[in-house]
Amino acid sequence: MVNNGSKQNGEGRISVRDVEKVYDPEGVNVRALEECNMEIEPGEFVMMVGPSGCGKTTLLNAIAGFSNVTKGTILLDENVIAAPGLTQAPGADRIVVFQGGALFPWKTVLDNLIFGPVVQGKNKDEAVAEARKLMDKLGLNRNTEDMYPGNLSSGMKRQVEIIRALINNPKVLLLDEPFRALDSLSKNLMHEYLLEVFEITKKTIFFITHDLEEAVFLADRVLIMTTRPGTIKAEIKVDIPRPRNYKVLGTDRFAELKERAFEAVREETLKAFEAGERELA
Amino acid sequence: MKNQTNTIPEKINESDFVFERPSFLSKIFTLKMVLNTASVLSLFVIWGLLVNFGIYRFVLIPGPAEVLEWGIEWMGSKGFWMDASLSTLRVLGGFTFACLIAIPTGLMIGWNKIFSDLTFPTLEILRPIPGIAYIPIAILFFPWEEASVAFICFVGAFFPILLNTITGVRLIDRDYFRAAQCLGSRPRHIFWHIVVPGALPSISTGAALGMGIAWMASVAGEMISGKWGLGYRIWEAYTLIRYPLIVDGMIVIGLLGLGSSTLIRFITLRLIPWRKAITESLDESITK
Repeated sequence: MVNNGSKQNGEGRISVRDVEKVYDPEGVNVRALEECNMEIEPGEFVMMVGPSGCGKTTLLNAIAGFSNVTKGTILLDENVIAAPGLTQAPGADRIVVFQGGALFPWKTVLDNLIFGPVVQGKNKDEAVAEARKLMDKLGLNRNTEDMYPGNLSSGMKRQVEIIRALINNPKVLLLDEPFRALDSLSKNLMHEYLLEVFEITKKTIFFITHDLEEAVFLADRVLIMTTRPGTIKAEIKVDIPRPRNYKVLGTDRFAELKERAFEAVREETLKAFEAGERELA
Repeated sequence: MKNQTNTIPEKINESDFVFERPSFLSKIFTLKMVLNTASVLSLFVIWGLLVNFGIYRFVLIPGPAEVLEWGIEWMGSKGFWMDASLSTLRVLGGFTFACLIAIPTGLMIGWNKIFSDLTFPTLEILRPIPGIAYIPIAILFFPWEEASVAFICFVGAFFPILLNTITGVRLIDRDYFRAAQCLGSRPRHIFWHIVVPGALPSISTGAALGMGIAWMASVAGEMISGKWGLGYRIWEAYTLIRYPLIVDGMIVIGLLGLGSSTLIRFITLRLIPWRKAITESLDESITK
């Protein structure tokens, strides 16, 4: 399934090359990323797991354009999007769905959805028509369009946020533990929803998480990041065929892959834990 | 996820529900209304008792009956309407100017680091100076008496509105800014679509506070300058030994203050419709 991308026009390749990120708060060097290399094919669904504070979010922020790297380059297709000295700018070609959810609470669902197209200069009526079309296509009830996010369930909020990203036709979707705050039942529903969206749109997805079940269930490839300084330690190809649904969770192959991911992450988590203990002592 | 539609029914048939129309009496005599009324009445009862039995120096204070009698007479006179309307106009004038200057300034300070570094220290020096301290300068400076009292109200209202606006902007979740950037916003979009609406709830808190302080400042201002106004009337009643009128003036200020804060709440609820759901659920949890 890694070859999903070759079916489309080949947009949305992320290349992370020899990336290093050093934070320097008050002269104390914190090496968040080191010799980090990663290639994500167009139309590939890649999950990244790793212990807390390992630099996953640092990498995602660098790809999103929120903060730069101190060494190396990150490319989106042919464009350099992060490199030392580069003036970075986030853009609608790579949209982030945030951990806490970032739907604008002061805008209705429809106004949230058309926000991207409208600020990019599109005619409002066209944007509304497009938003409605996409709501239908991606199964979001149109009766919600005049509601404020505060009145939606947390699962539905994530659904709206994903559609708000997709309406801009981004090359990649960057998801930063978007379902972390959901209860496990809503979380399961959102996993299946995201799989459905992936089948329909075939966008490149880079998704970071702590949840191994989530990782194996959704991904074409699971990357394991080491504890700080973060680098890619291992990758697990998930050869479970798509389209997938919840029944996959009960299969032997799923259990086996999850076990492998667990072992790889556990080693790093232990290291992080011990390092943390020493720091405290 | 198409089956998620069941949270919001496609169509609601009226026959699905049987509404029990609440009777007129049960609408008026809600527990809330009864308790609210009792609260106000008890203020008058306690005051009346304290005066009636002459507890401590309460013999010197006019009682409710006397105050009512004087009040009715005062309210029938032309002077009352002059006092009340002039005071209200001064307060509203000062308050409006305070909003017009404090809200944009606060938005800029909260949002723009350079603007903040440029203005904030100066404002922090001015902030501790109370409105009353400006009275002599205001009398010297303004050629018009009305303007000097309105200016005192302006000073009182300005800082609560400014500080709440700044806080309002600074408390906006960073992810909203980032999401807006991701979606292709330029700085002006961020200002109008994130900074302004994100700070609105806090601005409305500041406005309500500022309105209260503007009323306080107006009374102080009027006691010193002016021939009309509620503050002036209270002070005059004291010097002319017409004590019940002092209390009447106080009650009218209280009522006008209540009226203006209700007005602000009414306006801001309409400006912040997304807050309605939150406020309603809060109200419910308090009542229960």
